[in-house]
Amino acid sequence: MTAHQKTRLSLNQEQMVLAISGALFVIFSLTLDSFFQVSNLVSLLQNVSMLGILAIGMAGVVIGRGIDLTMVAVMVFSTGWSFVLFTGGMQIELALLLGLLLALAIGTVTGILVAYVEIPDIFATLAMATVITGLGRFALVPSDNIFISGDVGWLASLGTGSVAALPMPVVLFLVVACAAFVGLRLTRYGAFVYAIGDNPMASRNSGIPIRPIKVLMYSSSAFIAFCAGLIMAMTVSSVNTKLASSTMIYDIILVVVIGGIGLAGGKGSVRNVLSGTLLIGLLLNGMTIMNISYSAQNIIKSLILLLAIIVDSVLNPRDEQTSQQGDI
Amino acid sequence: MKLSRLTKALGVTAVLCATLGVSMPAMAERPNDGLIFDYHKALEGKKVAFVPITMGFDLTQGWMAAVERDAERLGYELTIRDPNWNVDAGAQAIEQLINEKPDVLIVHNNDMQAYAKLIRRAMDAGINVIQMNLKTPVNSDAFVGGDWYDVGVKTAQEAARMCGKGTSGKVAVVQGPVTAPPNQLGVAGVEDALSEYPDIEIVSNQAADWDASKARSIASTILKQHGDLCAFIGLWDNMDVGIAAAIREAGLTEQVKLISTGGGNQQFGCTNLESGAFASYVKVDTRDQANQLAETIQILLQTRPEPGSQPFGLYTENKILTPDTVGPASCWTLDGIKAGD
Repeated sequence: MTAHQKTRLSLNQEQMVLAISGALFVIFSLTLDSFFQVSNLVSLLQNVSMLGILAIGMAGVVIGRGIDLTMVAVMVFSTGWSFVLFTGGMQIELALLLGLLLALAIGTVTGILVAYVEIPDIFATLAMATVITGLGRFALVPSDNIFISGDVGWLASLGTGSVAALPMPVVLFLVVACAAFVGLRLTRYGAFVYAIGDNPMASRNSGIPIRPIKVLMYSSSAFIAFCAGLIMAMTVSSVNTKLASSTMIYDIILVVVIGGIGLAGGKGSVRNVLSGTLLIGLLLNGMTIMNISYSAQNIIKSLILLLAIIVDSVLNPRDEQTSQQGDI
Repeated sequence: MKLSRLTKALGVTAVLCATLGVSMPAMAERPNDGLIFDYHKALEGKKVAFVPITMGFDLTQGWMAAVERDAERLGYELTIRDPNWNVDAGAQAIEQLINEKPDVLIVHNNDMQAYAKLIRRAMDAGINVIQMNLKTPVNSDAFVGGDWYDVGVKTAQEAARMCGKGTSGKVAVVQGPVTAPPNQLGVAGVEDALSEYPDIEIVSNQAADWDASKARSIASTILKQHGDLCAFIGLWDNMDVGIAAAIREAGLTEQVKLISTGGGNQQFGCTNLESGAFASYVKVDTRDQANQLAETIQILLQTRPEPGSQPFGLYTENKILTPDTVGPASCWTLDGIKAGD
């Protein structure tokens, strides 16, 4: 399969997702009373912006042929710890800095486990997620829910402010998307990530420092997870650490895969995440308006994930020459 | 030499006298009212074990704050085995405890069935069992906890009170995990109670898994669809802060009332009542439950009934708080319960 063909095929999946989104949009607009109005569409975007930000972080790892199952745990425990410190009387800036450092430290450790200890990504991050949850509960965050009652100053605008009628979370989603686009497309780091995802051995043979790059990959996803956690905390003025043991991580993977980023790595871009996020946003919004029951919503979501994975494995088959044990 | 030995002897005697002088006469003079000595004897050195759903939230932390205080004061031993939301680990912990044979076992049920058999086995093994917060169909020695159906009824009645004539009568329900029994019972209570008010319509009934962020998303979508909504019924304050955020964002704080419920934790409960985020709050007071649990332990350790022979219940009173009735002592803090407030 030539490089040209690959690009064409993954573009097809993205176009397919956009087409489905378009169809859903038209159907919902025609059949649901209050769907097609600016305020609903804005809230649709806002409701998935957190998921979108996390998915961008995940995409940065998946493109480099990894997967980061620690993202939700990092998100809730690093921000949760910050706000525990803040409620305990620490200055907000210092508390946030410590939380950020914690997130980066976890990301680095995960990266080292993957890159230097050579544990397959999925097992290393799965184990790390459990470690973070356990340690977090034991030593950092005493309660599942932390309510942020003090005055956090300018920080509050991250969750509740708006820029030109767009809610802040949406704006920040776009900012993160742009930053990720620049990072992945216009920097040497990005080029290396794509190369490693496409063929790790060949990249190493051609002199790419794949181990440090992998560590960087996981640190960046931890950084993005911290940012997402901060925005989420500010929108609802609380942190829910129980999310670490929820199925949220699969929702993130769902967005990444559905947008057309191959789990085999090396393909896809930020645009894919945007279209995946849009489709999930449309679905969630429509299903809520239609008042579909919780279980039925879960069935629909999981069937779509299954379908996306099937389409992914057909369009992006495993490359027998470069795949190895532990790959997903 | 002799003198110094004498001095020493005198010193020692003085110290002894001083010590005994404080404690001995008091012990000797302590009047026996016929119960106090038996009371202390019944509690001292006894073993009490607790298997929570998790120690990670305000309910269990509040209960244990009161029990730990009693354990220290009265000299019984408290063991907590935290399965952290994992039902299997909880079942294992109970099984292990049945072998260890504590005098009283407190079980915080996850659902109606999971621990029912184990509770019966524990009682067969001669252990007095207290069920907390949610009852299985098996009656054990005591039940201490909320009447969840009534919580639902009360929240619905509050919604009906606020959504009478002159409003749209539209109400939206945001529930927790659909399979969690307190949630199921609460929703049943809401639906039954609202069926008596023909003018009130439930326009949306969605589950947010006790997660504030999910609740915010759902609530904001509902608000866009029903701009004339009158009230939200939420079923747990920890989650309902998300609904409050959505109402605030939509600028509808005046029009849309939020009726919430919870254990009366100062941070989640009263703070939000004071700020007007909650229009009404059905309090299933954790502080009351904590004290009732501590008292139940004392009663069982003294009476030691044949396990399961005389079951009794202490259902928590559901109190309604509104921004007008909330006072400085309406809610509790963990430190407060620890200090015995």
